[in-house]
Amino acid sequence: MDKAMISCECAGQLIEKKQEMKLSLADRVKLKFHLMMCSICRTYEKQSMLLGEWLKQQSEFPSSKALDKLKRKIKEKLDDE
Amino acid sequence: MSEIQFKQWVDDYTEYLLAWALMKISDRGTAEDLVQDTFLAAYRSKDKFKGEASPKTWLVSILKNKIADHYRSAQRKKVQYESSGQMTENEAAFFDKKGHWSPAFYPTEWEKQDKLEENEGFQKVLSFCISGLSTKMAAVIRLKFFEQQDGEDICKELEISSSNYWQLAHRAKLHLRACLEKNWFKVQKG
Repeated sequence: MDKAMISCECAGQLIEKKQEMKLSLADRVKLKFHLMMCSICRTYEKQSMLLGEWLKQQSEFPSSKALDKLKRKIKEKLDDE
Repeated sequence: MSEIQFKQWVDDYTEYLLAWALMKISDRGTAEDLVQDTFLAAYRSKDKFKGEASPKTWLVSILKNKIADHYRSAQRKKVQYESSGQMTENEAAFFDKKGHWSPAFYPTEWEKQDKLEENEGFQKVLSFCISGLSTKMAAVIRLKFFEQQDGEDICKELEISSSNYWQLAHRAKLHLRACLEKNWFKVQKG
């Protein structure tokens, strides 16, 4: 069983990979098995996916609201000149 | 050129300049500041603009200088960080030798909060955390999430192997989650 169990570090990399591409069957099985046994990595997986969403949204840009805000700020600065 | 005309430039070119800045700089707050500085500098020297180049080209040339200045001063800051023992590439013992989580880095559950992506305080902390990444990790984050390029293209652009790429992406996330936990989620709990 020890051999079937990958490390948390390795599981973390597979979690990263899984969000971008389809894992090989062997990797899918290894990850699934690891996550069944390891609650810390289950928590990590959720957070890793959340982080991915937040990072993409940061770039989901230019969101017109944020852009308008920046334009307004620049114009105010120009008024101070 | 009148002030009204110049403000029209702000409407016309802010988006383009910000996109341009974000190709070079992963931190959104810094990119916005540099775009703002670009307009201020352009405004101060607007009499030098002869209309030989397009306004866009002229503004981009100013922005380029601002970005170069930023990196020069960031380089100095980075040296300070590293000497104070923060975040270098290979450190941070997230895992022990066997690859199990080090207890200090166990992810703890985050309290669910709605609309964090619209929360300005949270965005600031996130930007701060991104700015603490090593240059390589920041480059992977910028290309992977901000520009949403494929892994394969990112490897080519950064000249890294695919296993190195996954390792960097994973490490970057580990840093970011630890940083957010410390500077946002724990602070929120009080």
